[in-house]
Amino acid sequence: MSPSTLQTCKRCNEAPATTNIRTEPACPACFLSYITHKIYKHLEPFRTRNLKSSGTTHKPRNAQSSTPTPAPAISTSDDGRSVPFVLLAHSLGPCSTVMVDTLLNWRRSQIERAGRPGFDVGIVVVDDRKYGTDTLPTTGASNAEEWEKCIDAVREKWSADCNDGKNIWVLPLDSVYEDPAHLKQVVEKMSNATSRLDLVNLLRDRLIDRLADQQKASFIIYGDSTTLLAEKTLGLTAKGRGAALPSLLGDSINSATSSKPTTSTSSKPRKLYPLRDLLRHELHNYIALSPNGLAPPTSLPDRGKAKELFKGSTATATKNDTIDELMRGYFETVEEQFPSILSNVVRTAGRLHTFEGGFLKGAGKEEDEFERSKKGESGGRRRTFCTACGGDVWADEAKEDGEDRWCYGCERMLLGAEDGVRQAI
Amino acid sequence: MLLPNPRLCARCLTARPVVLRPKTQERLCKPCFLLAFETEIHETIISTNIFTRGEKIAIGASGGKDSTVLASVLKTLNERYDYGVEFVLLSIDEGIKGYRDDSLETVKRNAQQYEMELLIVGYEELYGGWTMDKVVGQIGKKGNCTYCGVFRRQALDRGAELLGIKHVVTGHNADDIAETVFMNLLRGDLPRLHRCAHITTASSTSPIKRSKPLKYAYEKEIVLYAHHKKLDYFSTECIYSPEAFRGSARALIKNLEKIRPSSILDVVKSGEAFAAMTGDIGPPAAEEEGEGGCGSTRSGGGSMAAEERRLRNKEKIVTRGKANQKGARKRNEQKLGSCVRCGYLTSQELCKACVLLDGLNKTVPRVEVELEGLKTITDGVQRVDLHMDEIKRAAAAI
Ligand SMILES: [Zn+2]
Ligand SMILES: [Zn+2]
Ligand SMILES: [Zn+2]
Ligand SMILES: [Zn+2]
Repeated sequence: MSPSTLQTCKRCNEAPATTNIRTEPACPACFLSYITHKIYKHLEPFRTRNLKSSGTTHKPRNAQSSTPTPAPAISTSDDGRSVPFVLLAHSLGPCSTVMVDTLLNWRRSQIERAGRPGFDVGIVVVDDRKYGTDTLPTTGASNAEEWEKCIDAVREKWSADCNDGKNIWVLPLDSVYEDPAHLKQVVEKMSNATSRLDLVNLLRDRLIDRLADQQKASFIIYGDSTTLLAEKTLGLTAKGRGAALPSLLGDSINSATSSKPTTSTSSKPRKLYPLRDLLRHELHNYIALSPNGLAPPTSLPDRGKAKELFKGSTATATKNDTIDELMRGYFETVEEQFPSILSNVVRTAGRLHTFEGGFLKGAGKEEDEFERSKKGESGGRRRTFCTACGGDVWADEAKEDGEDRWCYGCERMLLGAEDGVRQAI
Repeated sequence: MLLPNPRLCARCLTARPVVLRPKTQERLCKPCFLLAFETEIHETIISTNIFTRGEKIAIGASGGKDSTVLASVLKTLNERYDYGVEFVLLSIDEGIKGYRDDSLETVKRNAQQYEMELLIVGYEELYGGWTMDKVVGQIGKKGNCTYCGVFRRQALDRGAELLGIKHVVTGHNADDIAETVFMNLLRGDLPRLHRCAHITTASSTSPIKRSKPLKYAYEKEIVLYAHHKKLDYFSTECIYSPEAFRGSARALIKNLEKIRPSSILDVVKSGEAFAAMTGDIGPPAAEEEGEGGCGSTRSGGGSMAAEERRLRNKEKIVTRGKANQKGARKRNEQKLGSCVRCGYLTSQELCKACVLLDGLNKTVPRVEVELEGLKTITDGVQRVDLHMDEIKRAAAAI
């Protein structure tokens, strides 16, 4: 990764190449514009012209629900007009930082050009520091001071863009339950490190989804790099959560919003991953080369750390490791040597679809089953949603309505867990 | 609540446990383990309805642990639950000295032990003298699994055809399927991702149905079963080792199992979910589908570096605005016909095997490359003598 200084940039053919765009030598300016181009491609929905016709508007519901999140102030743009609301899920890590920075700068430029922004925006940070496993901290911040500094930096930099800071939420993960002590008890009931982390991830999503719901957000934006998405693709597959991939990467409508499935028919926010074409190391490089003050301490180190252990193929894992760590280590090597393969994993997973109201054709045997269930013939199964994660479940007809149902992945998460954990989650 | 006593079998609560079940972490005595293992396979067979009473089914037998356990369990279950089906052993002789010739001896013994007919079809007879040893001598060790996969798939079809059989069961286990799910994700192969976790695959390019009754059985439990049942199997892996993609996926699966033993099954379940989530996948990639060669069912996949190069070139074409959609459309327009040379099902003029053979023959001017008659190795169980003409006719009739 240290191209000879004698080379010139393959893009502009002028400046000396001091970095790379994939395998091509490039100058910093061309590299930066390559990155922003790749991100902007996914920000189409936020172009002013697209937003005008979208019809979705932001009218936050008064927060009367039982969630302990602070009641959010009603946010409108300067001229008082209602516009779509976009919630940025911020992990404080470098990739996430690039995401927040890019979107909010884009919004500022919209204001400059058009005199008003096309959307309102908020930032949510979930404080899950207490619930990491020993080897894989859920956030990269190892010390409280560093973490606080990052939060301060976010507030300082973006409060003006987020309704005077009223739309910046820092939510402790505990607050997912009414009793903050409850979370720790539930997490401790899990039988292994992977399941503990799986649960923490699930509850973090639940908290973010709930806030998005309260705020009537039209979009939730995540700062996941291609690398992280590839890790999650194989990781979720290994956790028996393959059916949940479309909600992560696909055309999905977010289905997981609350602990219990509601009958609410309100439109769910769309989840977007605008960094899905960029490798983790490219985003790190972007921060390093970025002239506009993106560098730490604005961002924390990445979530988790690949254990050296998994980088070699001869390495062996143990019960105390997590699937997330294994995948992190695996894709660290792949990212280096085979970046196109890595991107292809994400593209492939993105082509998987959820079945809305029915199976897609080509599903073979299952299709017949679906046809049968539509006709109400016996043996068919009904589709319903998982009590814990909101994912798809096929329920036996024999089961009563209103009963708790668990998807395969959540059942596997609970394998070997202590009694009473179902009720607790 | 009765707490399980770790010194007693978790099922019968009387005998001393000798097995810690890799799949469930239960401690079981030998009879309880054997019964649990068999019953799970029976449940898979019943719930998926793969057998029809009166059906004649070929077991793809390599002499390895998977197919030996498969044959043994199927014999047991057919008797215990009266499936009313007939099993035959079908073996492929790839012509690999010191590997296949030894393992075929095992298959021959199995045929006697299980009182099943046996048919062996050889690459040498089928492909004009090209044994895998000769193929490797010609092209080297790299990429030879492509040849083996293509040849094997055709050989199994032809063997089944000779036996008048429309259904082949193979010893693919849960580990193999989990591996394949990962491999297809890594290769971005959506059509195969769609199919690989199905228990039965019927392909438009093959008249023979394939099923995998061991799809939920852990490899470790297969080994334990073979050990406790004292089965006679051949335990050497193919000497032409698996390729990078497969190897990479395999290493992941082995590590996953150590982290959370339920993972293998969970990957298979995710694979089943993917089948319902892949929409318009187009026709399968015809004959290039390898049959997991080497008898050990785990070759193929090509090298990661080659795939990386292919993808990079594709990216370059796309970024230059010359994205070629024709390729994809062309594949949909393909019509199935018969290979003009050998009669095997293909969408091209020549089937994949004949194309590969052409390539092999071109590089070495061989005097007589025409396909000779198919010789069948006999062991007193059955003897079949057939000539290529007959095979051609059989294949053309498909
Ligand atoms: Zn340049
Ligand atoms: Zn669930
Ligand atoms: Zn027992
Ligand atoms: Zn042919």
